Amino acid sequence: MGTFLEWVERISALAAPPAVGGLIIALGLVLLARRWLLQVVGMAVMYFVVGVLHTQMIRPEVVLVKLLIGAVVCLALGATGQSAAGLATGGDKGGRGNEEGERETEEAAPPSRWRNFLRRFPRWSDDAPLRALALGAALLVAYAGSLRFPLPQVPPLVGLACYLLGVVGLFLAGMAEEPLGAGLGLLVFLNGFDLFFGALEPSLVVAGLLGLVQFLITLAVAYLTLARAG
Amino acid sequence: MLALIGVGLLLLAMIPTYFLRRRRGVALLLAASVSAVLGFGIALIPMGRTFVLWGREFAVGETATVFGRSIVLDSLSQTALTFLFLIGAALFSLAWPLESGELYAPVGLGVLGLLTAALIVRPLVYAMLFLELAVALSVLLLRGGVGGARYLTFCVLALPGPLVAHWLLDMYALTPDQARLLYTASLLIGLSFALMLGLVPFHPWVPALARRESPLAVALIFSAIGGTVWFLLLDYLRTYPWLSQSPYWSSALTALGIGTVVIGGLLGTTRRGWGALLGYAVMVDTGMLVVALGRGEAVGLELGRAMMLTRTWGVLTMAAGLAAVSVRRESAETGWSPWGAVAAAAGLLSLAGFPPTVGFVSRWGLYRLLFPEQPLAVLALLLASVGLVVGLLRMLPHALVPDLSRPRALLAVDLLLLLATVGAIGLGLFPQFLIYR
Repeated sequence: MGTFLEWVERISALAAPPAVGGLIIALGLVLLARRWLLQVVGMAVMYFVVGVLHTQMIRPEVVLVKLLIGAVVCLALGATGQSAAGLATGGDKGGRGNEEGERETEEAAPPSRWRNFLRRFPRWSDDAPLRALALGAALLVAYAGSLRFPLPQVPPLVGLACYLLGVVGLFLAGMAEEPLGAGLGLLVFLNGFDLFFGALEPSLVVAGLLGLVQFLITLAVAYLTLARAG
Repeated sequence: MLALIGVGLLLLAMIPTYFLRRRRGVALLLAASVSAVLGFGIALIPMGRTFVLWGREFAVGETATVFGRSIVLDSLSQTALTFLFLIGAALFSLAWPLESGELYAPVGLGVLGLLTAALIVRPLVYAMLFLELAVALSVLLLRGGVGGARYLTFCVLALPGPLVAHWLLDMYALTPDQARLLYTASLLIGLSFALMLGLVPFHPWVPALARRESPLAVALIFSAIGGTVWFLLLDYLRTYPWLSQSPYWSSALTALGIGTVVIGGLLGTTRRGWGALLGYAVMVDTGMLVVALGRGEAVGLELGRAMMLTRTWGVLTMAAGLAAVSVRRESAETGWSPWGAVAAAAGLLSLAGFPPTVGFVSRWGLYRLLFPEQPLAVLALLLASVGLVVGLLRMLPHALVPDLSRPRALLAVDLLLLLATVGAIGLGLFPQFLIYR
């Protein structure tokens, strides 16, 4: 345990621009990707970066608990995504059902040089430009908000991260068509709030209850997603 | 201490009811018994009475400490807990013949336990956390429609407000010259309660939830969780009296309340199904409650409390009626029964405040209170109630057409529905049980 805590303290040195950069990439992945696997990877990176940012304000032991909660949440989300994708395609294809369906459609159409060129790039959904715009807007709002209304008790970069998580979470929850998307938005939003509130109220009971809230929300979202898919 | 034992009992009772979930009747009977015993126990045991447990003497109503947090049972939380446990007992009894979900008993008990914890724990910041836990758990009672996700979203977005407000109030205690802290705190608290109560413009989750989900699960959310939110709001007003002393308090609540009532009434005229009509009726009733609260006086608060009771009766009667109608349609063997439709109509009329139902009693008091100063507001409230009745008249002919022509015997569930319907009218004719002055 001692080694792990030392390791956590060492990586807390990262809690500066690199951590915020990592957060932007993670949130971009969650917001832009439509495949559950990429979204869960984005969530896992987000939980790690938020943990790193937490180390600036709260004790490493509490950060460790938060990271464990994040790991459990991501595992539950991954299992839910896989099961929902399996139910949607009538078999367990690990979320690749849509991709294969699209491939069949493309095989029927005559190939072209441009299509062959574009096929090498990862496929994005039709609303990817809108989501990219939302991410840009979120970055702008978070940056302006952290300058105009700086959050008390937290360093400026952590304040920026809180705003970013809050705004992206709201966008995700607002744009979601499925319970899983709404749940991801709520968890991102709650992480932003947790990062801020952890500095205001470093009580272990509050940290534990907020973790329990996140866990129950994940459970509720998993239930809603599977009930809808089934 | 007594309330803490109640929380423990409810959470412990989740275990046997979960293992008995295949025998729904036994599980629901156990859940109803635990709720009823706790409800009558809290209501009948006098405050201050001492009892001995594990060799230690406790007094009912004395403050206990758990993990450094206070557990308080005062007169307001005593009323709220009695209300909560009796709602639970009624819902579990109704769920026996009318709800097919296996998890209704264990999840319902868990929700009641968490709501009880929210009502007795201090400071109030922990109450909000327990309330969120109850909200997340209650989602397991739903069927997975879009309404469940919306309900969860709006309630989770309400969490940060009271928590940050608590810190701002602590800061204000240290720097009393910064009045802006108070202003921000009251704004955050108001926003959070508006989200959880479903006031305009945060109302979309209310009809969406009621439209597609199981009526008795929706009834638990609207009556037990909605009631707890209401009692917590009253607790906030008592703990922070400056909230209601703000010059904008009355006008803001009146505007929000009337806005919610009018939008609910307008949408209620549309024909989107019985479930949606229940949601719009709840919107109208919530708006009325907020208008009553905006009066700020003792009479306004007393009216609010009476409206909470009458609303619960209306919601339970209507939900039971809707559940009966859907159960009948699913099982062709039992034949067609008009009692479900009659109970649903009686519940809706009560929620609309139509005389002589029980809902009219508290509405009449509100209209009389408002009329001397705001006659136009009273007119708007009356017209909104008419909107719900128009919606009912559009739905009723379809509901009263028998699906099955075969005659059928009167079942026990019909007697329950009849009792709820007669109660909705009887309490309206003899309202002295509800309003003491």
